[in-house]
Amino acid sequence: MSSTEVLGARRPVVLRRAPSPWLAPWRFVRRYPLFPAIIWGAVIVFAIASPLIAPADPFRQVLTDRLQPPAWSEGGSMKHVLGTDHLGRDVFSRIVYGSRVTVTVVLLTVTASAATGTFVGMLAGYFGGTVDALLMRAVDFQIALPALLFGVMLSSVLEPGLRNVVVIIVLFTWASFARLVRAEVLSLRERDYVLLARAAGAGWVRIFVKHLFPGVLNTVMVLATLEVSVVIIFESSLSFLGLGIVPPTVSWGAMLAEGREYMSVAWWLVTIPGLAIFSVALAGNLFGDWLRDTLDPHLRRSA
Amino acid sequence: MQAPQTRPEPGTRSPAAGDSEVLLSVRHLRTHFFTREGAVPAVDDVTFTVRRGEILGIVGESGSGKSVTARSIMRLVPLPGRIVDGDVLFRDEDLAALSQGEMQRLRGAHMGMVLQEPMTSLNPVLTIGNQVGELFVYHPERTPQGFSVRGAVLDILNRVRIPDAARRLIEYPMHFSGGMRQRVSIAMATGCRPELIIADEPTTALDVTIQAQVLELLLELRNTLGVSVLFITHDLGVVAQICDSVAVMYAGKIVEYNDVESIFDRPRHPYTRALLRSLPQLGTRMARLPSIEGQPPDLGALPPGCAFAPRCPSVVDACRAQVPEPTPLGERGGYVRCFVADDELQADRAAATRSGGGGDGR
Repeated sequence: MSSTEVLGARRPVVLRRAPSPWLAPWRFVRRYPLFPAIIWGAVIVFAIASPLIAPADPFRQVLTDRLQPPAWSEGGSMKHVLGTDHLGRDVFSRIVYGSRVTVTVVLLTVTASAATGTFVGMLAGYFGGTVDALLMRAVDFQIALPALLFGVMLSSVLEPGLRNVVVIIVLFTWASFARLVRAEVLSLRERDYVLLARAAGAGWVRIFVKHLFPGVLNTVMVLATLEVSVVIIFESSLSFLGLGIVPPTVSWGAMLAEGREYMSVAWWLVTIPGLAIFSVALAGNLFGDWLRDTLDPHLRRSA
Repeated sequence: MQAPQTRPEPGTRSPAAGDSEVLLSVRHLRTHFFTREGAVPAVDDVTFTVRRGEILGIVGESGSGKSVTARSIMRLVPLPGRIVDGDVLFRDEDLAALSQGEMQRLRGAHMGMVLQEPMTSLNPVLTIGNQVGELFVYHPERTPQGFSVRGAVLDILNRVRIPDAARRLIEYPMHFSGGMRQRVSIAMATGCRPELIIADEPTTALDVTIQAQVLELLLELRNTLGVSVLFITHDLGVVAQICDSVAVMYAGKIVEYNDVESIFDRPRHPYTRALLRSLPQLGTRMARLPSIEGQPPDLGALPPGCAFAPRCPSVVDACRAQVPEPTPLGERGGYVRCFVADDELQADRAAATRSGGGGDGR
């Protein structure tokens, strides 16, 4: 204080409005991925504890109760919160059980395609030359294929089922990991510490594990979360077309397909599985965005 | 030439004083970069020899091929570069004949490397202990007897005098100063007690006091471990302090190669002379520090003759027509690539004969 007065220069006082307490929840929502956390939390709990949560047996057909509307609409009852389908099965219970397929498929495919794509991308980026040319042509080839059409063809050759859904989805998602990882590795491999590790006698396996993998981990994680929604929609599409998960296993995509015929009389049969797929995919995307911003040091605010 | 027939090919012996065993012999090394515009000769017909315990300085401007020479020896030339010709004999082994795996076992165990930029030469996400310990993962057979990996790491960190090493093992590079990081690099380069250290401008990025400490450390390692050092720099002051012999590079070629006293006392190549002149002298005041006019040439479009001819103050017609071949310099392996220097050498020799002295052609 006194020093500024001595110098005769008064520093202008910058008034900053105190943050409004009313906006606190909004700020919280913006800082933390609340919506994705709730949706994904619910789905994971549904998948693990399906028998405890589902009010009814998802396979039990009660034809006298068929096409009951959800509880809040006219003629609905609390007995079937989300109504029943054309065979009188409880829609809520089927959604709960359907989450098992979603979670299983997401975990298996995203892990497998991230692992494959990361490894291929590292090989291509690190070795360059012919290895790079060959692997990247494979990637181009894969990306040029129309995924759904080719998936339909493949699944009609293979027999439908969980295993083949996973195989088909991995086949169509690894390439984006490979591309991204290759690009990162192209810059990482020129780092001095990689040269020094090689000069110290490191082979390519050690370089991959110690120097390249930690460098690409962030990117891979962000892409993996973003791929979650792609995978969910892909699985639902295959199941919708009857080429994915086969009944009696419950899957949201298959529910959508079955409900289609009753769309004019029972809107909830397509709307509810549709909403489930939509919100889970959206949550995946939002979480991916949040993760990207959080892991990006340029966007990170110093606390 | 007038050299006696018994004299070996220039560069195949070390010009440095002493007679220890030859460790590294590089002969007619050529490394080219294959770009879209054509082959760029980054290293062109480079020949030199390093004995055990010798420190050879490789001096030159940026882009003169110093680093590529170093990386060619380790067979770590970056793409699109490739060694197209020449031999690298290390411990009497032809490195070009080794498989990738054999080369890998050699790197780190028998030859180490230190780079210029201490801020980027360590991986920021690995702790120092983890990073230095890798060395003994690559070379388990070189872990000192009776040492755990951690013990061996501590031992080498103490040897490069990192204070409180035991506590610092679990710290990250960001906790270390530039000088300390360079010590860690040197620890990694020397951990397996290699015969050769390739130091690529290890002191350029450091401030002067730290620079002196690092040089002292290298000298000490040479004296205690008997390691040879290939010291790449553009700082002639540093060369004078620690090197036994010097190779001056220009546009991918060694233009002058001799022991350190001769290079400083009787430089023969106009480029060496110009470099020495551009060193500031203590106690003399000059209006302007002399510099070398012009730019280093574009390696992709070299003039037909001597690459230095366009900037050379004493250029003659021959220089523009033909690339000068190495002429022996001194008793041992030194040489110079310059037509003007050749004439001077002959004149000196003639004068020496006239005066009856035993001129040695230096």
